[in-house]
Amino acid sequence: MPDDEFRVRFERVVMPHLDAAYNLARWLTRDAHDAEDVVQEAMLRAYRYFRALRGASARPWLLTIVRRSFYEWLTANRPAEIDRNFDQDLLGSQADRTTVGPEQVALRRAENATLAEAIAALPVGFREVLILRELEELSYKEIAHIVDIPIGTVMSRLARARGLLQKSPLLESVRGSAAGGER
Amino acid sequence: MSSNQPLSDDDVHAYADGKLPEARRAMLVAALERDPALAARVAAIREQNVALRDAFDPWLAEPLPRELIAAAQPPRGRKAPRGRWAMPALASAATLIIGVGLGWMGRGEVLHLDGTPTTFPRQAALTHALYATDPNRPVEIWANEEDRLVRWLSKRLNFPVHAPNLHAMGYELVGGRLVAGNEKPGALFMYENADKQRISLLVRRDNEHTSETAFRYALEDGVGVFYWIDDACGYALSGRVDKAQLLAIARVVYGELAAAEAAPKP
Repeated sequence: MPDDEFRVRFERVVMPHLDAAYNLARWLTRDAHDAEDVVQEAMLRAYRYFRALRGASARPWLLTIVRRSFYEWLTANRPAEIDRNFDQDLLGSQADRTTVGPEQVALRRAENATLAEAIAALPVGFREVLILRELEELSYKEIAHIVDIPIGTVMSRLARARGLLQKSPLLESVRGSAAGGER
Repeated sequence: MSSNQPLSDDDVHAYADGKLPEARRAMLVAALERDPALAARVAAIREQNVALRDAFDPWLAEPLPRELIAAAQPPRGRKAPRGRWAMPALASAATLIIGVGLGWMGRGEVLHLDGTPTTFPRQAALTHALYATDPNRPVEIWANEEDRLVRWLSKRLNFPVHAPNLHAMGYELVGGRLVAGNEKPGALFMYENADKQRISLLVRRDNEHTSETAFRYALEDGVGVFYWIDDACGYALSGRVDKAQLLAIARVVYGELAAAEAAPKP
């Protein structure tokens, strides 16, 4: 394929997903500037490996690259954040599985900004599945592929992420008022 | 995951997301019928997801940094996939024109590439705009024959549809009609409040995109649309009302439909 045609095809196929790429990076890095760095690096790679995309769907493919770029960036810049063993943690999580209670009422009542802070405070391994699911609206299968974990683990992390969110200390004030309110 | 394992909380979340594999889904549906608390839990998870998506909405509406749009462009007049290209320092006019030429109008806009069928929210908004303003015949069957309307639509669509009761939100059913869809027809229920403000609920089931669940908002030519996909059925609530109000109504619609589905079949 001539270079020009290659470039046009890249623009048509990949560029429309730039916003999705930026969203994911933004939520992963929690910083607009860092997100730009991660996405720039990811776009370079996407262009370099564009031939490998073939018939596959461009959005999950690009998000996979964004995620990889993010983890490399994280290793270099904030290594402390990746030092968590999520799935180990999951084993002990059955006990605090939540039922319908004031926590969920709190979530409904929380201001978007407060809720966003609570999401941003989740450990990265839980945050990424939640973002891929609720913001990017990807299927479990696509998430499993992007994060490179089994579908069962996607399900567990998602359930756990939502549970953690309900119990987030950042939603404490809303929770207090909900517990004393109606319902 | 084998189908004889007991149901777990993960399954409940997957069910709420519409992502539980068929074998386990049947188990969970059976459990839901026995256990109202479980049904409430599913509803709560779905509400939580709506809250999360609301929290993400401001991000979706935020413009992309111009520098990023510029920097992310592939190189012009250079050998293609070999190594880095220099990051352009400026968001040039040319760059922005390329974006528009691609049909990429920025965040929040619908992506229209050649051959893309009309999106579900767009179809819903167009259908709403077409019939809500019709003074004489907004519906084919009026609400005084609601039972007949629901039976007729269910028969024509070949799956059971329900007309949610929106009385609590100040809206009464006007009636309904059969409408054209991308592949199959859909059902449209029209509602009206005391101010003669109309909203409509479009229901359709298509062969495509059956696995996707969503609860999203779109604004199409001044018509707000909340749409979601549940159990292979697409629902879109449309109206020229503000987003918060439309969301409140959409939540009631969602709850009403879930209750109708959970109700014992005659």
